[in-house]
Amino acid sequence: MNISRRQFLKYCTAAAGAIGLSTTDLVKLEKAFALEGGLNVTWVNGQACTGCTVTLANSMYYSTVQELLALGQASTSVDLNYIETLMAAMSNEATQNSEVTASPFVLALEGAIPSSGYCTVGTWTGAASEDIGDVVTMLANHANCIAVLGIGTCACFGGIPAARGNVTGAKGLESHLGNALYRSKVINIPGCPPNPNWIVGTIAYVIATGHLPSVDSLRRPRDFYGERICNNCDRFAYSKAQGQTLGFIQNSAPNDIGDPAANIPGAKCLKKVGCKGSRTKSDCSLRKWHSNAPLTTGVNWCVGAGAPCQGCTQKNFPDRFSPFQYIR
Amino acid sequence: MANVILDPITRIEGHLGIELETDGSNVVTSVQAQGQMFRGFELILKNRNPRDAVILTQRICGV
Repeated sequence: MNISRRQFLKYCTAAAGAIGLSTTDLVKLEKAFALEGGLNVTWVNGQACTGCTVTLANSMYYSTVQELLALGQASTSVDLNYIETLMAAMSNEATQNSEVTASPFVLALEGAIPSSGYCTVGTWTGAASEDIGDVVTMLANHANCIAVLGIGTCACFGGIPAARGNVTGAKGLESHLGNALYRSKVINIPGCPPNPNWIVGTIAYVIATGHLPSVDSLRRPRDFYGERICNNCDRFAYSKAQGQTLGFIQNSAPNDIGDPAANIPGAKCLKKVGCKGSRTKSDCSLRKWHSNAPLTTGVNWCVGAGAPCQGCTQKNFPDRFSPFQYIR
Repeated sequence: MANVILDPITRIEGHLGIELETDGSNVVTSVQAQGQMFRGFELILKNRNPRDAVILTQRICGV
């Protein structure tokens, strides 16, 4: 039985009550995932936990993509041609679908790339199930591939699968693709998971401008990873104003650790319980997470909720920041 | 007799492939399922501060 994406969305509509989606959500989901004629995105999974797919699905709350970046440009759409966790097609019907590479597309990789045999993803060109590394190499070198997005820290730098004790040879795009290809096509969107706005915003930027965004030395878009967490952190600002930059322990009260409901004033810097914000660049502290309406900041973020920053957008996460509770 | 390979299975979390055989009347006679991805979380957790497990193991599955 063939099920098209459109039919799949109909099933979603029928089941909406059961899974808690509103009609508006469904319209937006359809816009984001089913509209033909947008930029094609091929999303492949390596050694991933699928958390990045889930964070992408969170972006359905936004009605257009350009508002995520405040680009002020014409609206356009993202057409996910291939995404294992969400699409209806499967088996060779999906992997050998000529639509995937027929027109210009963006390759999005979620998860790390291990040595041969530790992660296979179906038969794309050959006879047997192929390694994710071969499929990524094939797609990234394809003439129609205009950009390669590393989604999440695993895809960019290896992340947790590549941490100390790694027996699978896991690595990120940086080590997998040749330097020339890496420097010309790859945009890294690290985070564990990345904020949905970083992903869709980067894709929107590529659609709107036709070229890749300005990136830093780790090939992360400067728009999203330009500043250290502490620069815009309310806890850091409060403790500094009190003359206690590391004020968490000196004058401890329940609110110091952080009550999400109290959301900040009076909550102190978490450096002494291992916050890695000073060594981490992202706009988490401004953008926040789980926004429930377009153009509004999110509900909260790790440090706002009293969880010290783990440094998940940085290269060599987790080893560089582990043990996480230590001040380093 | 037919040999059917379903790989990848979609709309699930993770990587799964199914290989099955049917007899002349389309009755399935044999099925093999493969989980096709391995990260070695247990090995990565070895020799670490126990409190790190909280932060690492939550990334086993993100769905």
